[in-house]
Amino acid sequence: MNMDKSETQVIDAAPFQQDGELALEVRDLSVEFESNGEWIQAATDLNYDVYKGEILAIVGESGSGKSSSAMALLGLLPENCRTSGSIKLNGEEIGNLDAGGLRRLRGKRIAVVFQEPMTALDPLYTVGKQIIEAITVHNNMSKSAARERALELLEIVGLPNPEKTFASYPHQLSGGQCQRVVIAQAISCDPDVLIADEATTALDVTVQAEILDLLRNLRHRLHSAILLITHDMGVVADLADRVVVMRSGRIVEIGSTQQIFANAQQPYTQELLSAVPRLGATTVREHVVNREDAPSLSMKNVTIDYPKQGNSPVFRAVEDFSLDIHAGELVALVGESGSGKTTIGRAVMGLVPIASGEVSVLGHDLWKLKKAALRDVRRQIGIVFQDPTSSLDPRMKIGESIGEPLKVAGVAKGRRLDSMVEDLLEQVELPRAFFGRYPNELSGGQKQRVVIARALALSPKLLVADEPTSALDVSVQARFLELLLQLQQNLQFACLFISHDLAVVDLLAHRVVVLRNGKLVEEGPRDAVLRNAKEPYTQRLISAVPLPDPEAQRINRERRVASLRT
Amino acid sequence: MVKFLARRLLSTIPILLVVLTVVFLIIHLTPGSPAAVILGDNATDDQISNLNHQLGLDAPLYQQYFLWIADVFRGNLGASYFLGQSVTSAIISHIGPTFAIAMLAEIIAVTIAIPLGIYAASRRGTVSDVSIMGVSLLGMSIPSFLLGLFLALIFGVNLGWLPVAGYEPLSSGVWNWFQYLILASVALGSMQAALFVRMTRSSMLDVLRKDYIRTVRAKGVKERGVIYLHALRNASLPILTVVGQSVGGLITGAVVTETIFNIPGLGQLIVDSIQRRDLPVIQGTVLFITFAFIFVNLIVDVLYGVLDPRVRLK
Repeated sequence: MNMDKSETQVIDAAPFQQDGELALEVRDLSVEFESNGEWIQAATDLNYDVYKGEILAIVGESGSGKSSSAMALLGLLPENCRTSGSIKLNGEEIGNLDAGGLRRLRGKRIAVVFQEPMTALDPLYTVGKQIIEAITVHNNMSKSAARERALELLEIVGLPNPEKTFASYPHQLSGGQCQRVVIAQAISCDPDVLIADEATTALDVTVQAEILDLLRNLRHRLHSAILLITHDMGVVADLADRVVVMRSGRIVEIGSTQQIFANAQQPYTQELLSAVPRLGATTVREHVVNREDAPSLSMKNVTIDYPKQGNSPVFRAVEDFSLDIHAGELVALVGESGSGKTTIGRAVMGLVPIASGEVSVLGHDLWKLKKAALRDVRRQIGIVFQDPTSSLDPRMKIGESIGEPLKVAGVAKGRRLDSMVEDLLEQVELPRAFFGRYPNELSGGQKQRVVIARALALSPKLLVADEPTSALDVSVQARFLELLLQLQQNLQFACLFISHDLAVVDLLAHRVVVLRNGKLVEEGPRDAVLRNAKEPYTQRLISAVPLPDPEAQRINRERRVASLRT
Repeated sequence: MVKFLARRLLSTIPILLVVLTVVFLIIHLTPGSPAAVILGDNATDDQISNLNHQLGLDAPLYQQYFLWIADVFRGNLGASYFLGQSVTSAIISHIGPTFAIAMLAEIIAVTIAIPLGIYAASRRGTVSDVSIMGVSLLGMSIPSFLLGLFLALIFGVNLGWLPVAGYEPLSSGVWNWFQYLILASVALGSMQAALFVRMTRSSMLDVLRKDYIRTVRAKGVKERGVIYLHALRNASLPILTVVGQSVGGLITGAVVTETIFNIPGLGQLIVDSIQRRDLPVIQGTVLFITFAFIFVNLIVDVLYGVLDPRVRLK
């Protein structure tokens, strides 16, 4: 390997030995973006190889340049970008191709699967038509032959009824089915290189596990090289042969998956790996909650319906759901998309009307309170949403955002308000100087800290956190979760933590509630649910989470596959 | 599809009832007695009330209203006070030029604007994009009557290429008929064109940012295919809405342009009838125009269903 770039400390493992034939050689690849007349480096002097039949993972946090460097291979970067360096596909230079040459390459020799399957297909054409388009763009083929091939592809990607899927429109399919269609489209011309750009990130874990299995099978079947771009170490451990670790546009480390996970050389890689929450890794933890007092949050037989809209009938989002959370207790609500977990969170805040049952916060039934009394109770509830950027007013200073609840509640104003806000900033470990800054000057993790400071401003007795870390990078997430745990221990508020990420839940929760299609499946202390699940659904959910350890994940995967067979 | 159409047709009935009522009220509550206008300045009060009685205008308002509604549902729009013919035949004899001008204006607007909008969107930020947007802003800012006068001055008076005003029926030869319509249609269509350019551009830009366009590019589809097969088709729904709604603007615009170019169309019929307080003609024509507008938008809704499977299958 050509490793003369001494500045980028690259530690390379022995090259992947499948049959030793190179599919892709990337040399000194740089990508720059133009912004306000300045060129900003997104990726600098990248050097890596991908062999035929190999799965190479490129990992890194947001802004590491992993995605833009991969899009550079396809010439799919926005117009304000320029690239330099050499890219060789099967020994043939493609880095200097013009637009037409790149176009002939795309889909035929390098294909790509993107993150959001639900929006990746044109809504106005049937799935079959779109696959046929992918085939006929590059092959001179009759319509009926292309149709045959499309049906064959749908079969290969494991869609149960190819004929039916062929005639379906994208909106009639689920996310997992759409992603299979996108993969079918991508492999339609037997590409030399298949790029999977966060291809499973938007999917539920059980669906993700299926798509990862599919990619594993395809690698054997097609003998293509697969470039796996992801931030999820579990996915890497599950699938990759070798790993490229990127940070701020540079390659930090290259190695075999075994080597990276067991024996990472670079501090950054070690840091990144230690930040990844591992399901089942934390030790058994005793937690004593005083259950004598009245619960902070009590839900009894709650049913929530979404009313009839147009032709779609009434949708029962939550059915007969009961839950108590006491002071000092952190209860996690887990489930896949559509399970009703967010709806429950909204009902607790009084944002969604309930059809029957009772929701009471601190002993007050939310749906029987008058407006003024409801306002008083709401002051006792703090809220943290998923996306910190959209939950902060971009035109308000950080200090104003945090101080707003105090001001509205009439707790303090002027000097006293400012000093209270500074205390809150300190509590979430942000410098006091952030008081006068605007949200766009802060990183995602810092913004989420501001949101939690604001949620805690009125010393709430109940905190509802809806997927508070899923928009954050792992290293940021780790620090945020630590902070949340600490705050909860100090302030002893009750917390309803809504998440799809079982590893995060394992780290935090005292009790876990598993939801499926609006119904409670299983409930109990963390260890009972996550380590000793009784319900098959919970077991399936847990085994679908890829472990960030290649050996453990192999065992996990084999066990899962075996259990699915029986 | 049949169900979709039937539902859509049913939903137009309440709209029509509201329109019938509003049209009736506006006309009957505006001051000015038709009898006084018909009989002239020298008429005595007796003569006026006699004529009012003959015309049925002295009956209580609700009675007139229900009589008119009943007539409308029987397909009878009444008879003109002045023209000596039924309202229906008055409309039929004036519809030709208006229809021709409106169609021609719409064709001019669509054929110029949509390609320009696509071109501007695909070359966003370039000189051609900025110039197209600038010209379209100008087009939206110039009222069609002013543009009509300019056009008549340049092409009619100075250059003498086209007649300044007037109208010849189609029976006098296609070119003869056509040359009288050109200036009015251009005047009327240019404002619509400006609106369509901007709508097409913004709608295209919106679609070109979508994930599925990136997927299509990643498949290696030629840029032309990306634009026309995928982007334009997805962008066409909002464009279609604007085109459908512009029909209303075309008709109101026709009232003005027909007056400028002295073309005997529906616009002129309405203006004359208002001056003459010819109530049945005003009511009938306004109702007819409303009906045409609803009909065009019904077609637009059906086209939605044709273009977008999500609308069709819902």
